[in-house]
Amino acid sequence: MTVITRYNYEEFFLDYLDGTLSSLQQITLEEFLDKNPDLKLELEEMECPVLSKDSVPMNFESLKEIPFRKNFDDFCIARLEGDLSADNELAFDTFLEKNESFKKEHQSYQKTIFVADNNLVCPDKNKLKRSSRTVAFWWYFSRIGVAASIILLFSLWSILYQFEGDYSKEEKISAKIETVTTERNEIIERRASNEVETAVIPEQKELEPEGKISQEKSPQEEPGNQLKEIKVQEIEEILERVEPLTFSYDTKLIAISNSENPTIELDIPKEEKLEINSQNNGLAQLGMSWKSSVPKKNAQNSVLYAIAKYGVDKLGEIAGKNIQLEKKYNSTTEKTRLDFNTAGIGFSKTIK
Amino acid sequence: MNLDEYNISVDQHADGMFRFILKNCRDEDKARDIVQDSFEKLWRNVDNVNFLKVKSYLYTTAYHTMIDMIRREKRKDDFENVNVMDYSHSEHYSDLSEILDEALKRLSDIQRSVILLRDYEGYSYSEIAKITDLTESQVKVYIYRARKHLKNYIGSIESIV
Repeated sequence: MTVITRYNYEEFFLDYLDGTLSSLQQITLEEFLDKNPDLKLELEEMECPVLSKDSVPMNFESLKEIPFRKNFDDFCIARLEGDLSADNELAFDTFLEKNESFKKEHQSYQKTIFVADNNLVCPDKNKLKRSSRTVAFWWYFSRIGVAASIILLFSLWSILYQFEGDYSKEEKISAKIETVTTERNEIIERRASNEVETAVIPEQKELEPEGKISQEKSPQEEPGNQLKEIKVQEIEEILERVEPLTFSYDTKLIAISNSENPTIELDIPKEEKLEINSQNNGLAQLGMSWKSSVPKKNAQNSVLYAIAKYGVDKLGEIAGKNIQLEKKYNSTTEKTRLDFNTAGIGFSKTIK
Repeated sequence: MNLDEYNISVDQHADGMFRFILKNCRDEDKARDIVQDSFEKLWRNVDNVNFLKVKSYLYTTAYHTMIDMIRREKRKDDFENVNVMDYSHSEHYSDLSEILDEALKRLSDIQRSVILLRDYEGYSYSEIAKITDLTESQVKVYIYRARKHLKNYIGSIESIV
C-alpha cells in the first residue's frame, strides 16, 4: 500500500471524497491528517457541495407554458398566417378560450384578412385572348419589322425627293420662261419710263384669249422696234397652233437691275423649252406657265400612301397595336408628309 | 405554353391581377393597362414560359410594372413612413370592408402589395418574395407590420364607432 505523504495526499483526498478508499486507507488518511492539521483544512475546501434532487425548487409547469401573454401579437399574426405548429395552435386556441380579453384582441386581428371581391372583374378580359400565334414571334420579327419600315420610309423619302427634284427643275425653267414675259413687258414699260429696270406683271388679271391679247397689244407697239416685231411673229405662229384659252397667273416682281439687256437671261435652248412644256408650250412661248402637276403628283402620292399604309398596317398587325397613319399635305411646299405613331411598339426611340 | 394554355391563363388570372393592381393603384384605367401589358409580355414570351408557373410570371410582371408606374408618378415619397397616429377618423364607415379599404390605403406600397398577394392569392412567403424581389424574412416583417397597422386602425375606428 502506498504511504500517504505531503507529496501525494491529493490523490488520497480525491478518493476519500469519492468514497473509494478502503477502510484501512481511510484510517491511514485520518492518522495523516492528525499529523498534518493544515491539510485537514485543504480537504474541507475540496469538499464540493453535492445537491440533492429535492434541494432545487423547480417550477416545471412554468417551463411548459408557452408565452402567449408576453408575445400575444406575434402569436396572433402567426396564427392568422398559419405559421404555428399544430400543438401550438391548439394551445393558443385553448389559451384564447380561457382569456376573454385576449380573445377579443385576436378577433381584431382576424378582421385584417382581406377577401377578394369576385364581382370585380377585368373589363377587357376577352380582348386579352388570342386566336392565332402570329405575334408569338414578334420578338424575333420586331427587328426585321423595324428594318423593313426604315427601308420603306427611306424609299418613300427617296422617291419623294426625286419628284421634288423634277418639280424644282420645272419651276426653275418656268421662272426663266417668265423672264420672257418680263422682257416683253419691260420693253413696253421702259418706253413709258426708262428709270427703273423692273417688270411688273398685273396681279390676277383675267386675260382675254391669246388672240385678243396680241391684237390689243400690237397697236400699242412702235413699228420700228424689231424686237417687238419678232415677238409678234412668234405669237402669231403660236396662235396658229394653240386654241384660245382663259387663264390667270400670279403677280411677279422680278428685279433685273444687274442686267443691261434682259435678253441675256434668255439662255434656254428652244428644244428644252418645248420638251418641258409639251403640254402647254404655247403658254410657255407667251412667257407664261401653267402648273398642272398637282393631280399627277396626288396620284403618285396616293400610290405611295397606299404602300406606306400597307406597311404600317402590317407592322401594327404584328405588334398587336392600332397604328394611325396620318397624311398631311402642305400647300405651301406642295409636299405630303406621312406620320405614324410608334407608342407601344418596341422601337427604342419614337420615330416619325 | 401553347395558345390554349395562354387563353386559359387569361381566364384564370386576368380578374385576380386586375383586382390586385386596382387595389394597389386605385385607378381602373391604369389597372387595365397594366394587366394588358402583362399579358402582352406573356404572349411575346409564350414559348419560354411554363404553364405551371404562369401565375407567378404574370403577377411578377404586373407588380413590377405597377411599381415602375408608381415610382414615375411619385405618389408616395416614402414607402415606410406610415404613422398610425396620423390616421384620420373623420370618415363615416358603413361596414368593415370600407374600414379595411381605408386602412389599406394607409399602408405603404410594399406592405399593401404583400398583404394583398397573401390574402387575395394565398401566396406563400417565398412566392411573394420572388414576385416582389424581397427576401422571405422581409416579406414576413412587412406582413407582420401591415397586420399590426390594420388591426390598430380597425381597433381605433371601432372604439370610436
